[in-house]
Amino acid sequence: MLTKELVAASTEPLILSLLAGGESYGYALIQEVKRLSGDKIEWTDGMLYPVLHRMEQRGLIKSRWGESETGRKRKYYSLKRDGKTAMARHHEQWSLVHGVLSGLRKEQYV
Amino acid sequence: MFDLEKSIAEWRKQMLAAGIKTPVPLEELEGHLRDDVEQQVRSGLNAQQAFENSVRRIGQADKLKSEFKKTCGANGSVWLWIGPLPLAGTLILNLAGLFVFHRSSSVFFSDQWWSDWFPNYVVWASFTGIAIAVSFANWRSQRKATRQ
Repeated sequence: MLTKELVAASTEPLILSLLAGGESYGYALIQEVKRLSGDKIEWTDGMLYPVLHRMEQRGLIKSRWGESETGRKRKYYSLKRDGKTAMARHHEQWSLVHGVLSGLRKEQYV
Repeated sequence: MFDLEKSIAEWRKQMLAAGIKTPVPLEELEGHLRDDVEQQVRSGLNAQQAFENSVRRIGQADKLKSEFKKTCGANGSVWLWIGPLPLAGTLILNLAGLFVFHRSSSVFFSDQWWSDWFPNYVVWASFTGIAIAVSFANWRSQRKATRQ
């Protein structure tokens, strides 16, 4: 399981990256991240929505009301241009951290 | 006998009572609740167990409210109105003094006006200036955060 701090820090880049694959909705995003992480990243269901709303307010993503397969109202989110820029930035930063950590680990085993 | 619709209506009431009043988050949360219940029922759980699990996972209303509040608060705090509102009030009272009560002290730029009204304008205009500066700074930092 990831620590609370790491979950919080990785939520935005993960949402942006998930939405880069096409529009989606809250429940599907939670399921998808759970599946991809092998159940290791579990977002508290209710907490995802305030994060999505904040990201929308900051102009990273946009939303529209649509319909689910069963005809129920559902809010879909998609990436905006600023969101794509932010995502690229996140990827760069996380890769940097990952690269440094991997390098250090290799050094320790040499 | 467990009634899912009745339970969801009850849950909505609790959310509303706890202050999640804006319809958008509540509609969205209800959609989530229904998706989650449906998913669990498909995997073999009965509706009551599924509903209870979903409600627990969504979390307590008061915690959610404070999270949503952060979203609303990002656009402007109440205290930013400390300047503009009294400034507008001063102007309205000044105009009322001039046109309704015909007070000589309310005549703009008269000797009495400088001592009676001008200090009020200075104080509230200063607060308004601060509020505008803070709003601008907030807006800029939000833009910056977006681009980072």
